[in-house]
Parts: sequence; C-alpha cells; structure tokens
Amino acid sequence: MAQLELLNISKAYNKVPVVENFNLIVSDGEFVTLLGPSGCGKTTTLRMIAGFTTPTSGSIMLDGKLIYSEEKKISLAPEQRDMGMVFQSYAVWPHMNIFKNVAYPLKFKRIDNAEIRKRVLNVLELVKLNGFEDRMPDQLSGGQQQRVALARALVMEPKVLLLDEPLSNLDAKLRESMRFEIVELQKRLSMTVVYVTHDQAEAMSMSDRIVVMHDGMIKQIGSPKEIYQKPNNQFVAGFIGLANFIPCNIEALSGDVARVKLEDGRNDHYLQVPVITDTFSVGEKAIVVVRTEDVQILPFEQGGTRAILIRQNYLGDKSDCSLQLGPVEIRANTDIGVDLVAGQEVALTFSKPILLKKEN
Amino acid sequence: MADNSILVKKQSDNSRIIQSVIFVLGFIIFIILMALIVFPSWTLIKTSLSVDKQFTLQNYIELFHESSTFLALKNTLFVASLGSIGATIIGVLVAWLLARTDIPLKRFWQTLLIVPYLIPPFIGAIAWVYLLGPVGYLNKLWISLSGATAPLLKIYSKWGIIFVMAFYSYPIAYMMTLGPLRQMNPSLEEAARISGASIGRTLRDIVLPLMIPSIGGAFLLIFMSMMANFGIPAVIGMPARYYVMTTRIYLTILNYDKANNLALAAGLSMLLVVIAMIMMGLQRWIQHGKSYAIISGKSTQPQLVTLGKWKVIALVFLSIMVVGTVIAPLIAIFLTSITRALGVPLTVENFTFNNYTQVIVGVTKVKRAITNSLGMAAGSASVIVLVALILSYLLVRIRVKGSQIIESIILLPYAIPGTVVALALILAFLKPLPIINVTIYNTIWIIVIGYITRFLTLGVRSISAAFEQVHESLEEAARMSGANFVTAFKDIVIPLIKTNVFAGWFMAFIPALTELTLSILLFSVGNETLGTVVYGLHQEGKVLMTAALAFMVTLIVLALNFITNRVTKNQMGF
Repeated sequence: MAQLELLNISKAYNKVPVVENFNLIVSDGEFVTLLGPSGCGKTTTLRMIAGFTTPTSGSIMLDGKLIYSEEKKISLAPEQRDMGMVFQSYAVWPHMNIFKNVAYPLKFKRIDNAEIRKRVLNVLELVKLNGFEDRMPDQLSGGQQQRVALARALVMEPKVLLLDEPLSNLDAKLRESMRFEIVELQKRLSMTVVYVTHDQAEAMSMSDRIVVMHDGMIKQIGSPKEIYQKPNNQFVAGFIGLANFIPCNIEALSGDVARVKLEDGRNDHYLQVPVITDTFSVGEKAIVVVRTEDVQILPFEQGGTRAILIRQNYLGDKSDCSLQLGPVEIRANTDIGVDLVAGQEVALTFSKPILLKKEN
Repeated sequence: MADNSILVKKQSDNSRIIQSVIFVLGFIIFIILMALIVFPSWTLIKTSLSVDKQFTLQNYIELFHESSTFLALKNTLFVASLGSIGATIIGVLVAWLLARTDIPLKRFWQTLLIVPYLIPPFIGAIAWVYLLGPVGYLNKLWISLSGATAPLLKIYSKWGIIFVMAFYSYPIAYMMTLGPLRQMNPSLEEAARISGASIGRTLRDIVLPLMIPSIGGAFLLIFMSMMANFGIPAVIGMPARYYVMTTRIYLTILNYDKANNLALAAGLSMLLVVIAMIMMGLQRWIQHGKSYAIISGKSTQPQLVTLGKWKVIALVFLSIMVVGTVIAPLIAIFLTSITRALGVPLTVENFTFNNYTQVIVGVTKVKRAITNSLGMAAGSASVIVLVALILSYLLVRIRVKGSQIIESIILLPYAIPGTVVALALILAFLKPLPIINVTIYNTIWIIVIGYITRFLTLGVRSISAAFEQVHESLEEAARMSGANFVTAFKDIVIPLIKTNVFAGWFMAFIPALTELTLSILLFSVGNETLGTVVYGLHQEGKVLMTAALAFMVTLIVLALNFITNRVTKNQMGF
C-alpha cells in the first residue's frame, strides 16, 4: 500500500472546467472519501487517478513514482498503475464464472496456477464468498456481485483501492452492513483507499478524512468531526447535516469570542459565538450557523432569542419545527415535550453556534 | 335519461359491431392465408413424397443417386459458409470501427455503407461481371497496365459468388452488431483495464466473447440468406456451370423433358428447407439462449479507442468497402449503359444515351415489364398493408390466441428460399381452382400471390411495431372523453401509425418491384417483371441495354429508399 499525491490536478472539456486545482495527499493506509453532489467532479477525479480520463494539467504520484505529469508528458495506462477499482455497476463479467472473474488480474502477474488458485480462494474467503467460485454471475444477488468486484480488486494486492459509489445500487439495509465490511477489510489489510460517494452518512461513518467537493473545487478537507463541527464555508456547513444560516452583525471581538447581533424583528439580540476559523472585523456582516439539533425551544418568558412558531411537525421522539427569527426562517429538530400553537412566541437558545464569513 | 341510455347503447353497439367485423375479416384473412401458404407447403411436401399419386421415397432415392444433387449441396454449403465468414468479419470490423474508435467522418460511412444492402443482388452481380468478367473494366485495366495476357481475376467461379455475396451481405452483420457494440457497459472493459489488461487483451477477453450472441446471430442470418440466394449464383455461377441448390432447383423445374422434374425439384427444395430450418433453429437458440445483459442502463458512452497510426489503414479499408461495394459497380453499369457499342474505348465521343431510349421504347417486353412490375408491386403492397392492419390489430390489441402460430405462418414464405416458395405455388396452382375453374398458373395473379405471401411479414412487422408503440391507454383516453371506437381510431391511432403504414407500404413495394427469384419461375410471356427482363436481356447478351435498364432500376430503388427515409424521419429505409 502506498501514498497517493494529486498536485494541482485540473480537467476541462472544451475550456469548460470540471475539476479545478485539486490538491490532495492520501497517506499510506488512509481512507479518504470524495464527497459532493452530482456534477461536483468527484467521479472525474477518481477516473483521473485510475487513468481513464486524462487531466488537463497537474501531476499524480503514487508511492513516490510519477504516474501522470502534464509537464513531463507522462501518463501511464490504467493497466500499468497497479490500482484496484470497484465500479458502481460492479462490472462483473457475465461470461466468466466467479473464479475466473477474480483470477483475471493475476493473469498479468507471473504466477503459477496453484498460486493463483490459492490467492483467489483466500480473497473469496475474505469477502465471505467461499464456495462461490464455480457459480456464474447471473446466479448471484447484487450484494454478492459487489463482493466479487471487491475480491477482484483486492486479489491483485494493489497499491491503492478506488471505489466509485459502490453501494448506491444496493438496498438500504445491505448498504449499511457492506459499509462495515469494507471498512473492516480496509483496516485489516491497511489499504490506501479513495472512495467516491454523494451519501453523507457513508462518508461520515467510513472515512479517515473527507474531501467535500462542489462545482469542481475542493471546499474543505478534514476528518468527519472537523467537517461537521468546524465547517469553514457555507456549502460544507449546509451539505452535511441540516443547518440554519442566520445573518448577524459583529459587534465586538475579544480573543476568540465574538459578540454578534441578531435581528429578531422586534429587538436586537446578542450572542456569544466562538471564532474558530477565519478572522473577522468589528462591524462586519457574518453568518451564524446553527444545526437544527442545536436549537432549543423554551417558553418565551425564560428569555433568549425571540422567535415565532410557524409550524410544528411531531415526529415521535422529536419535533421538526419551522420558526420565524426576524427576517429569517429557521428549523429546529428538538424534543419539546409540549405542543405549541402556530403563531406562538417562543425563546430560542443555541448550543454550538459557528461563525462563518458571509458569502454571496 | 331514457334518451341518453339509448344513445349510449347505440354507441357501444357500434363498437361491438365494428369489433365483430374486424374479427370476421381477420378470420377470412386467416383462411385465405392458410390456402395460400399452408396448402402450397403441403403440396410441396406431398409432391416430393409421391410418384403417380402414391406415397414413396423414390424421388429422394433418385436424387441421392445423382451426383448433381451432392454437388449442388456441397457447393451451397461451401459458398454460404465462406461467404458468411467473410461478410461477418467485414461487418463486425466495420461496426467496431464506427462504434468504438475515433475514425473520422462516421456519419458519411454510416450512410454509404447501407447502400449495398439496397441494390438488388443480381444487378450487383451483373455490375461485377462488367468489372471482372473476361473483358471487364478492371481486367482490361490490369492487362493494359501490366502487359499480361490473361485477366487477373475471374468472376465466373465459386470465388466470384463468394466475393459478390459477401460484399452485399456484410451490411447485415454491421447493422446487427453496431447497436450492441455501442451500448455495451463501458465498465466491463474498464474493469479489465484496471486489472492489468491492455486494449488488445480487453478486446479478446471481454468484448468479443460478450458479442458472440450478436455475431453468431448475424452469421447465421447471413448464411441463411446466402443459401437462399438465386440471383448471384444465377448470373455468376451458371455460366461457369457451377450450380448451387437454388440454381439446380431452377434448372430442374425448367427441364420439361423429364417426366417427374417437378417431383425431383420438390425433393431438392425439401432438402434446402431442412437445412434452412436447422439454421433458423440455431439462430433462435443463439440469440435467446445465451444473451448476456451487457447493456448499461446509464447513458455513459464507452471511451473511444484512438487509432493513431492505424487510422490510415482503417480509412483505406473503409474506402475500399464503400468504393468496392457501391461506387465501382455503379460506375461500371453507368459507363456500360452510355457506351455506344461494346468494346469501343471509353472516350466522350463514344458516349450516348441511346441505350436508354432503345431499351424502354424499342423492346416491347420491357415496356410491358415496367407496367407489370409497377402495377403488381403497388397492388401487392396495398393489399399487404390492408391485411397487415387488420392482422396487427388482432395480434397486438386483441391478442388473439395462437398468435405465435399465425406469426410463424406469415413468416414462412419469407424465411424459406424464394425458389422453394415459387415451386410450392406452381405445384399448388398448376391445376385450375375448384368451383370457379380458373387456372392462375401462367397469369399475373400467381406472381401477385407470390409477392403478397412473401412480403406480408414485412408489412405486419412494421405495422405491429406501430401498434405496440401506440399504447392502448391512448385509445382508452379518447373513449373516456366520449369518442366511440371508430372516432378514437380515426383521431388517435391513425395519425400516430400513419408513418409506419406508409413505411410498411414501401417496405413491401420496393422488393416486389425489383424482385427476381419468384418471378423468374412464375412469369410467362406477357407477364414479365423488371427483374426477369433485366435478367433476360443479360442472358441474351444484350449488354448495353441490360446496363441501361439495370442502372435505371437501381436509381429508382435508391430514390424510393431515400423517400421512405425522409418521410419516416430516418427510421426506415435508407
């Protein structure tokens, strides 16, 4: 397993950029996920790593060796990159049985048949498909075919394992169990993995680090915790989990705490918000980000930021409420315990507010 | 209230009446089809198995004692096998080039490559005789350039047959493999690449094996069409006394001296039919049994292979195929048709359009043939369309039971070699029809019946497809809005299937117009067709007039296909 470096990778089709200045170093044994909505460039980036798409500029190094360089005019063909890949549609070859499918990569290494057989059966056991080697793909379920694809990628003991939304064609329950299995395998074999998905839950639960992408650009790289608790821009804050964006004015700064003013339509209210990213100046307009589960609703008399209830949807363990906070509508996903009436005045408190720069 | 209910009752009565009428019509058509298809088939089988009206295998025994039978069988299998292999390889290669590589001018090649399929095969054969016959243009060119005394290539041989048949059948392989090649899930190949396989290895290990159902299906289809071909072996094989089953059957039928010639011809026909059935069974098995689900649901297109230095070779290859199969023969026919006299050098002074006027005005049978063919083809096409409308409605909308059997019966005269169909019709209608005591043998009616039964399946296929596309719910929505059956049909169904009906008419008209295989056995003096007179003129050695007429026929066919294509917005025709 090895380290993968992408330096200033860009890709444009007919001058239209789809990936811009992508920089990433994946450490040996690390599980990195490219996460973003459709069209953000994550699959294009993965295919550039694999060699199916040629970047417009930049360089890629694997284990210290250059596998792509626009400057030096190097671009290794996919079959020369020593990488394994699991495709979204599994791409299990229908005319070969499971054994032949998984053994295929070994045909290109100089190994004798006995050794091939040993390795294939080993890896089939790893993915819990022992006994399946003589079956044909059309006799297998989607989840089983997925494992065959995984086995085929693992059998070549690649330097890097690439996965392109491998779980999106499986039903929800299978998706969850396969998540655990893939991560378990990865840890056991200490594999370097680049994983592509649009599903936040997958990214959050599986990755060591997440690369959040939007419109061809990296918005933030960080561990799941960092991404969630310390987003440094509006897109990342809004993409993971549910967040409210409340415009505010910075009234005072002292150390790493800011005092901001919110408008609630009647009075001004003030909040103390920790400053963890960026630098702000007094008088600047900014955004306070509060996740829906960090909004507490209290009776109006208790004091806090005043809001008016628009709608309360009772969900059982929690209520999903829409509230009017001054000019802004926000949502709260919280356990209230009482039924509220539309139009009722309530008080809100926020735990864990995040201060972000105002973007246009 | 009472008034309303009467109105409602009347409307639904009308609908039921109309549906009953359709049923009755359909039933009548079915009976007639049985008379025109099943009865002749039965007569054919019976004739082959009887001498003096008694059941016997004597005919077959006699056939198997003749070396000419084995020779014809051997020759048929030989030319069909080699021809199919050649056509399939060329067709798949062309399809791969156009679907998977970065070869330029794809639309240009795609359009031109279908043309050889449209030219009547026997005219193509005649054109190649003009190019590679003993005094053909290419041979003369070779002799003058190299100083040799003998021609380079001899068209009048089994290789000539294979060559011309392959050149005219490869579009079938191309059309049948282009789609699957285009739509194959690209990750199947990418998975091989990332596992370590080069482009070549991927082609060998993944693409080709997965294409076997399509390639195999194409091979068998081409094999069947070559086995059944009459025009090319007639023009190219007979002068060299190289006979295949179809030409042997033809000669046997024309051998009036032999008392049991028709019985022997029937026996030979049955042999041919048996082989055809085996091939058809194989084809069904290969297409339905082992078809892998390799089409990707997504619209991702496979990465195109960069040809690099191979681009030039590929372009040369495609140019030869296009020039070889389309332009060279057309030029050969055209040049011959405007030459003043045979053998004179091709200079502008020797060019004239006399041959055209001569053949149309000067030869009576040609004038007759033009009117005959136009009339018969148009009449047959119209009957086919009407019958197809009723049958398709019954098969698709009402889904009558036994539709598979009905479809098989309709398919039979098209799937069986034309020569055999003609013989079956002769045997069935040699004697006068009962009750009305009219003999249709040696009249235009037997030819018309031949055309209708042979090309009916084309019309039914086209119009059934149209009905399938007009979902029942569209008609039903109209009925819910208040329209009765006829109005709904008129306002909704007819406008939507109009194009397909039009195309169906042309799909039947065009082959009927230039057809040779049936009419060469069913025509008589006064009932000539375009096909038979072109062939006849060629047999008589009237080269210049043959060329003029052949060129006109070819132009008409290409023009008709072009019109069909335009009218159906590129869905059918050329």
